[in-house]
Amino acid sequence: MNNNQPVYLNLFKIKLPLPGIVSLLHRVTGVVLFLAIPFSLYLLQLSMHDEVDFQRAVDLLNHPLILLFEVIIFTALIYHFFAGIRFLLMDIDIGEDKKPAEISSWIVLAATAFSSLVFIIMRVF
Amino acid sequence: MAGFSAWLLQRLSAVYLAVFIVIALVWGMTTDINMTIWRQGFQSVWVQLGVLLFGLSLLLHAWIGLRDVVIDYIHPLGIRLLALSLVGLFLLANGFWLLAILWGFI
Repeated sequence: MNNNQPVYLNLFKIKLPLPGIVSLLHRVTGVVLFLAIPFSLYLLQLSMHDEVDFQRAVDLLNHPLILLFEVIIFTALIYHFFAGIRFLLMDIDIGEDKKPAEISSWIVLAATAFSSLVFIIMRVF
Repeated sequence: MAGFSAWLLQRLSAVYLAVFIVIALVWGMTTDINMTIWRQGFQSVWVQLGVLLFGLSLLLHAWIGLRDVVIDYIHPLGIRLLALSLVGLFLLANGFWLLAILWGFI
């Protein structure tokens, strides 16, 4: 076989099955949460310092732009949480077959959408 | 840290992180948080230990996860090592930052 042949990998043309998408999203949300660590620590630092800084942390959390970040981070967190539980269950041989893996994928997506919606309603309205 | 120990640590930390987050979310939703309540909470040794263990679990969990991602997607050895170093430094810096906050240095 000729090993010099060009490899054409158009990521947009590879159709992942649903469990594959869930797996990929688990990684993406993991990286998002990793990047959100300093932001969380900054808020913790402010909130622990004194009354003025505590209020600054509260104001910061209510700022519209920060609120958008919060929704993104919360959605990433809750997705990572649900998908993580799904993977843990699969580790102990629950739901590993094709059909259950597909159903649990839908459950993860639906639970995330629902939680995210509740978060938005609670924080924004 | 490699192979089975990393795999196991990833799962154990995941369970702790998940339980902690559920407790924190429930507490946050059922408590009217103000400065006094917040401060009081962090004065409890159990909360301090819990948060410390959360930080440690998160550090290990994120390291194993990010390491897997870097190894899967970044192949040139030099850039891979650079990326792994940056991830490690980032996590260590954040870990020390958490210690400083909990110890009241900042």
